[in-house]
Amino acid sequence: MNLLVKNFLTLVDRFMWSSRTVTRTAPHIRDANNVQRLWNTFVFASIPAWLVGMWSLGHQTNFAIMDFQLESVPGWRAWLLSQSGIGFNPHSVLGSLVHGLLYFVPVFLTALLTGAFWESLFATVRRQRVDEGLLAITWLYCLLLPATVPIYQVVLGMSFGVVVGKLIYGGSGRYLVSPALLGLAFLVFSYPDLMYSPGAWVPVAGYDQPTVLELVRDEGGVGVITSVGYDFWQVFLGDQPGSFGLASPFAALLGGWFLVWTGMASWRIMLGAFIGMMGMVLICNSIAPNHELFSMPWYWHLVLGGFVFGVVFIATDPVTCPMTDPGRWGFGLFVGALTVLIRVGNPAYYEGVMFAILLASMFSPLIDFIVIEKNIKRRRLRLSGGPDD
Amino acid sequence: MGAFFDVFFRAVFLENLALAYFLGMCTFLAVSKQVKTTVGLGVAVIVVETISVPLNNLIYNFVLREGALAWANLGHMDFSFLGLLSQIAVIAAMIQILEMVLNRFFPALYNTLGIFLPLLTVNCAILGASLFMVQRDLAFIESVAFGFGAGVGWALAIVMLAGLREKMKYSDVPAGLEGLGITFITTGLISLAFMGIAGLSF
Repeated sequence: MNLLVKNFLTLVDRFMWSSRTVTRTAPHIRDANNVQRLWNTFVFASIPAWLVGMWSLGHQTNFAIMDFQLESVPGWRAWLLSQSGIGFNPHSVLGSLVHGLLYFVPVFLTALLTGAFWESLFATVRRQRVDEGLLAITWLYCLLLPATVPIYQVVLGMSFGVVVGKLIYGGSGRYLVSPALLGLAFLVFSYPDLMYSPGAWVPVAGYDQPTVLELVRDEGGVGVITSVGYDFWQVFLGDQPGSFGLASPFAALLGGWFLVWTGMASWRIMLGAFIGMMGMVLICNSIAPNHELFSMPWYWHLVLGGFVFGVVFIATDPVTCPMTDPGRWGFGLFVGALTVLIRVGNPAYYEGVMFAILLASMFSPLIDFIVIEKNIKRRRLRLSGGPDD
Repeated sequence: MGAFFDVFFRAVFLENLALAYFLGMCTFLAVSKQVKTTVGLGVAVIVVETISVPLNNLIYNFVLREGALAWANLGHMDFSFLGLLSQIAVIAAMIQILEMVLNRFFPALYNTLGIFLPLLTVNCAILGASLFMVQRDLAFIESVAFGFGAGVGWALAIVMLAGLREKMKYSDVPAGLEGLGITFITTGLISLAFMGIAGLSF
């Protein structure tokens, strides 16, 4: 019994790997962390966002079915649901959850298989160990996809993301942009209809349910959100159409808190992105207080689209973000400000946060370079007895 | 002023010479190993573009284009077929003069730019900017904005690539892709990242 408790505690400790003892001199071994565990923490932290997303998707879909008063729904999912007696009740939490899962699971399995195929192919040909982090990449990639994504596109995007984004650079820890994000960007540029068509979000044929961000863009202004019947807390908690994992800013924030608490992701990036977003929104508001997009208040910018999810799970990817602390602030500010700029200014690809992160991670070595050069200059000045700081 | 800024903004981000048109690739790929060198090169490109594009604009509008010589009672002449030749000549001559002026009056800047200044004579991004200027029929003040913007955009792109390449020293690239291969792919990735803001308009 004693052993059991001890083992259990070890397990918990391994998961949280915290240690209060601090060594005085280098080298510092902080905890028993490794790459695999780091990525698993990302997956673990995004589970709330995933669950709420599943429920939200199932809820929207069941609602569409109820709305259309469909007598018989085609497809194997519907067959499973009606055979098992779960049915299509949009008010049943379990029913909605299962319906959402039935859309997510095939996508996830396909992506995982595709990724595993490329990983093992590269490992075999190059005679190396199989890389870590595949699960997390697949997981985040799938959470970014909309429910109507065709399976062949899942395969294409995943292949591009894993091969071009990760494997040819040498795998984990060496890539330049998040492979999950790159896969998504590849799909969006190749098949814009994937995310930029009104029927993309709810997988019921002919049922157009735009995301709240699209509503604001296309119908004109913030006023339309509340007139359609969304209120802030509903959107914040996650009852809105969107990609698999992007429905709930609240759940993503929860995940963000967990990542910061476990020390896996940089709070500087998250806070920086929030401040950058706020700043840019305030500038936009003051420039054009009557423009329907520019005048959107910051709390709507915060909960719309994938802002929180992107900032928390994608932008904080420890490989692609800058390594220096001031650099991380700068990176966050850049992501936040650019997200708002793209949202209000780009008519073609208005889901700003993903592109902002993509561009920012291209800049991140440069940001590091500037910070390091500044440090070198300062220290040189100090050595030569120049003005002290 | 709005038009000026618009032309500049487009030239830097939306129609970036290196990332949207893939111009000046030889220098772009060859000299992008270190951030410090590319900063010097970038400054050289900005200087040369900012001077050469407006200069070519003046020459094209007052000498070469059809009816441009009306001020010399030669309104029926059309020398626009000489455009390419004259632009190359202007760029080459301008760079020579610039080099001498810098050497004499700004030795510090001259030493920073070093070998890149004469090299820029054969950089297709420089000539490309002048050709785009003619093709898009820019007015003089717009051509200043365009020249400056094109230079800044190109400089930004090469500094970004150099940053990424410094980071890629730690990468483990398959043997067949080492060197230029992976650099091409990285350029493609930067280009992809820029596509996200390609439609930006206010």
